[in-house]
Amino acid sequence: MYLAKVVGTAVATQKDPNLEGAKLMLIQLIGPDGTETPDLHVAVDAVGAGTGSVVVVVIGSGARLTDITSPMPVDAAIVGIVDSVEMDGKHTYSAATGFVRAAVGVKSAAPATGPGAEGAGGARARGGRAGGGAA
Amino acid sequence: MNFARVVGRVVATRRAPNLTEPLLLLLQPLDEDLRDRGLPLVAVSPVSAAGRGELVYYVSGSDATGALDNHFQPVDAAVVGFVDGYAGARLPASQSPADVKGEARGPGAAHGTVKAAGPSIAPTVATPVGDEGGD
Amino acid sequence: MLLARVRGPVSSSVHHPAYAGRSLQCVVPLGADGEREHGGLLAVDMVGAGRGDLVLVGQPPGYAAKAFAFPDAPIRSLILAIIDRVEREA
Repeated sequence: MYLAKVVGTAVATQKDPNLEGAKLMLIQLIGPDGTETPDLHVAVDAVGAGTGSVVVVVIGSGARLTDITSPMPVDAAIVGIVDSVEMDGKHTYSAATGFVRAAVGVKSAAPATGPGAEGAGGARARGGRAGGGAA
Repeated sequence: MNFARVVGRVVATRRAPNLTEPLLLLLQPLDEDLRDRGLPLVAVSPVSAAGRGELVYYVSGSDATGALDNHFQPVDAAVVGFVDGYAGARLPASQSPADVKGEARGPGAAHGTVKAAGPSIAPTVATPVGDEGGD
Repeated sequence: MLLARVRGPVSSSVHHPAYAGRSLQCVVPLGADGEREHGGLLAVDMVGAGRGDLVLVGQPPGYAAKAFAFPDAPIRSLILAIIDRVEREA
């Protein structure tokens, strides 16, 4: 999964019927220290995230493994809201105070779709209604 | 799926036992303006044999196996169609789209303009580089 | 999924049977700044988009096979929606 920041929302009235009710969130992938990548994706919100949240996003077939997204034609879902991030023994983010240090944006961290390496360190996330539901 | 030009064939007599598809084509992937993009790749071609220079499209990833009669093959790219026409390529000399007819790479006469409709997704104010959160 | 601009339709008379009767469009995904485009790709159109439209493009595994009742359809990318409006934080 990827760390991302929710940077906006998208509205679509003309869409595949199985997207009815989907909350389309614009997300920008980030590094553990808040570094922004140029990768902008659209993910369906499955946990109640809002613009400005730092979240955990699943990209690929796992995106359909939530109760909300199981009927939807989606390949990306927000599955967690991040409380804190620690990397190499250092605290890099907390929801209350934001990122500790952020650098200028780096090159793309992830492929447009499909599985990719998870970021280093651990992100303790408040999980949403992940799991359950058939793919 | 992506555009590609057929640039050759690959012969491999020693193979994984279940790679039984006879024809392996060498494809040059192309971008939306039909310019070379990335390294040539090898694809199976269950759709009737494509000749050198033909403009085709291929599917990559796990969906490629669905193009074969026998799905259980170690394949990640398959030609799924030939391009008869495409009117979206922009030539370097002008920014108008050009008609592309048939199998040749060469574009036809430029015509028309692209309708620049729809919303923009750019932020209205430059996004801050990052928050200097308290430590 | 990605936001992308529709470049135009691709016509094809010889293709895998799963593509029969499907509308195929070339789309170009947009980057985070909304301007920089990268890596055009082809997607089967589920919603009737036109050239220049801003659309939602995705690669939901297995969805094309189910939607078209064509098991194991070798179709990866789909145009899933036409975007009316984007709201972006300042």
